[in-house]
Amino acid sequence: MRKTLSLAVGLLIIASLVLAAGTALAAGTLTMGTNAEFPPFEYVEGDDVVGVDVEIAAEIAKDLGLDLVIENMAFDSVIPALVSGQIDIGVAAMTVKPERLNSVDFSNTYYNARQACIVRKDGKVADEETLAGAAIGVQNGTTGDYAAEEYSQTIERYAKALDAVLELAGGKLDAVIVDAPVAQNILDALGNDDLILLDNIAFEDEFYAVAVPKGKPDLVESINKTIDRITQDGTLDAILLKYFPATEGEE
Amino acid sequence: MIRVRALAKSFGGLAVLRGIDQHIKHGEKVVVIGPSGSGKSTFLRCLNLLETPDSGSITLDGEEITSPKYDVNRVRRKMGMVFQQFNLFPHYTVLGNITLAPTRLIGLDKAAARREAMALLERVGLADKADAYPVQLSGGQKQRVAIVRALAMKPEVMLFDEPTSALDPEMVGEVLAVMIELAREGMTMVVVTHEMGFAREVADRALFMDEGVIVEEGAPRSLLESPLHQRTRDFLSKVL
Amino acid sequence: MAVFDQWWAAIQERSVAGTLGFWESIYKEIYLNFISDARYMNYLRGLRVTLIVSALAAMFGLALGILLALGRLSSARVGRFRYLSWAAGKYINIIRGTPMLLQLLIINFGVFGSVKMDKIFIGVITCGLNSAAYVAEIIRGGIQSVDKGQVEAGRSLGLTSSLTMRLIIFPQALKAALPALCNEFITLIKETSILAYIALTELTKAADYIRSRTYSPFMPYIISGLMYLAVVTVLTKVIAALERRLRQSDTGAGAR
Repeated sequence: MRKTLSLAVGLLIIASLVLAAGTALAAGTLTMGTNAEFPPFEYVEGDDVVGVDVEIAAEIAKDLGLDLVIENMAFDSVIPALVSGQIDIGVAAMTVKPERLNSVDFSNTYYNARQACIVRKDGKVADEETLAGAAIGVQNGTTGDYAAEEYSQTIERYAKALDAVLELAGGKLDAVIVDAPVAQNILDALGNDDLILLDNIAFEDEFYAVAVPKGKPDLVESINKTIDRITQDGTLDAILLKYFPATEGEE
Repeated sequence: MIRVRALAKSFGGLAVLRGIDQHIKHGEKVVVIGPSGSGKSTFLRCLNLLETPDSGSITLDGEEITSPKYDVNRVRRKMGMVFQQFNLFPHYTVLGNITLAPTRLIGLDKAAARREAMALLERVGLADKADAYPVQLSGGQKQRVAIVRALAMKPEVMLFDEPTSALDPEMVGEVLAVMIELAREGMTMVVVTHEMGFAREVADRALFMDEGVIVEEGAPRSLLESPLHQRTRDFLSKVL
Repeated sequence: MAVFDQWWAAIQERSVAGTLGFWESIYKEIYLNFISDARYMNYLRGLRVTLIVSALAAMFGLALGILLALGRLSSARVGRFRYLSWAAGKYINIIRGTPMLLQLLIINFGVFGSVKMDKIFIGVITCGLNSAAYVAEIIRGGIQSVDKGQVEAGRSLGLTSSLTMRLIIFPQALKAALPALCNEFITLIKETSILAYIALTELTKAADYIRSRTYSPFMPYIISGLMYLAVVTVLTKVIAALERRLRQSDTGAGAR
């Protein structure tokens, strides 16, 4: 009896929050939710969150005539925060996936990324065959998490990609699956010669886009316009070049 | 049997015992009286080393128990002690309280310990309380159980530290009766008490202590009725 | 379950379109976070891990906590073991003075940084080591609350100090400490939720996982929360019954 009551209370809370969605934000600002654990797309430098996504969001805010505010949160909280109206847009190297369309809408895509698989040089994983059934580390809720489920049941889901890579380096995991630019960035930062990227696993193409709460077609359209503009006038290339110095030009 | 020489003890600079010399003979019943704070309880507690004397020596049957080599637990087995506050173990039954030490220390098997405990309880009239817990007993009953608990170790000496002071007046008699019977059987006893009647009737010798020394001693009747010292007279005039 | 799937199928299109009504969106939350893909099994598996870790950590913490409490009190009791008391005191101070999350991260990434260990084992070690410090203080309080006359009575019978502790002081101390100990165990159950941080899929991580699949803001946490609440409620009832039974030796109602 008491449990039914608590459930009812819980549902009421949900209901009120669902209804309140989108009304809680300050006027004149565009609040962007992201997870600054994903260099070079978003990471913390000094006191600031910086990265490719931050610069793109700044362009979007500029075109809308709004001030950009950044909310740094766990990656798996970005979509929930959009749903409950705590943020206006999610710019978090987020891949367009059908499951996510139940909760949010996406803009046009601005980057083509792939997953990468990090392993230890002397470890047991060397290809798709040995990846099957291995202990795989991921960042909870990322596309790497989804990709890992195609290969194994033994998945450890961390809040930070770096923690997963550290566990791999410590011998506690066999592989880590994470977005390729991030993987490269973490490997550069760690400088650990035992860790390598596998290039023989065929992950699907993934396209990053800006996530927007359901039912805001005007906002989506405005974001699409900005993405078109920076793609055409070379701003996007300049941003990417800045954060991927002289490496692959994927987009 | 017990010989005490130049016993001294202080607590944090306060001298509680200042040179006690005594010889307690086998079978003797000694009563210690004196105002509170006179050191009489400390004296008693030094005898079984619940307090460690600062200096002086105590010998029991010719063995110096105050020597650091001596096993304290052995001397305590030979000396039963009864406390003012009974100190029964609340989580054991009466029988459990009594048989705990004999089964653990003498290696008595449970059945034998139980038999002996029941015999002792019978003597103090508490056989029907064997399975009760201490909370269910009156103060007088608790103290009788405490006496039995000490007796179960078959001690050579019994030390009583104000055994009736925490009792309601109507219960004092039942405890004293047990003590008197024990005295008649020839047990060596050292009793710190305010019960002058008991002292007069049972004791072979009375000690009057004040300020950490034995002021005077003698046959209880003469000490109580015609004390030699002014301090003794002052004390007795207050309690009698 | 088929009927739930049908209801969902009926509203799914409008869910993508973002035009669900009030009750429909509540049904969507419950369906996605509990029913579809047998997600309730995720919670139950997580609950199982939470219960296993809590039980083992409680036992480990109790045993270590008792040793620490005895160590802490040893200088008062024997004098020779002052260093033991000092070490126990320092341990308690360090554990209670630092966040458990940091302790967990240090143990996981530091102590066992390059050892392949079961995450449950690491959880038990971390939560147990942490709980032990609190248990030690509770037990110490319990021991100190036992009347000094009890020690004297035990020693006057010729019992050694360790036998006196074991047979007379400790049982009474444990009884006095029981309510506080139970509180500690309840706290422990909830604190195992930080193990989500090292990717151990206990009850909180199970909710995290489902949330990352359904993008619900908080429905998975409410479901997990209800499960914690159920466990703690049952435990509280059991403890109350236990305390009632122990009190019987105080009132005498337990005598045969």
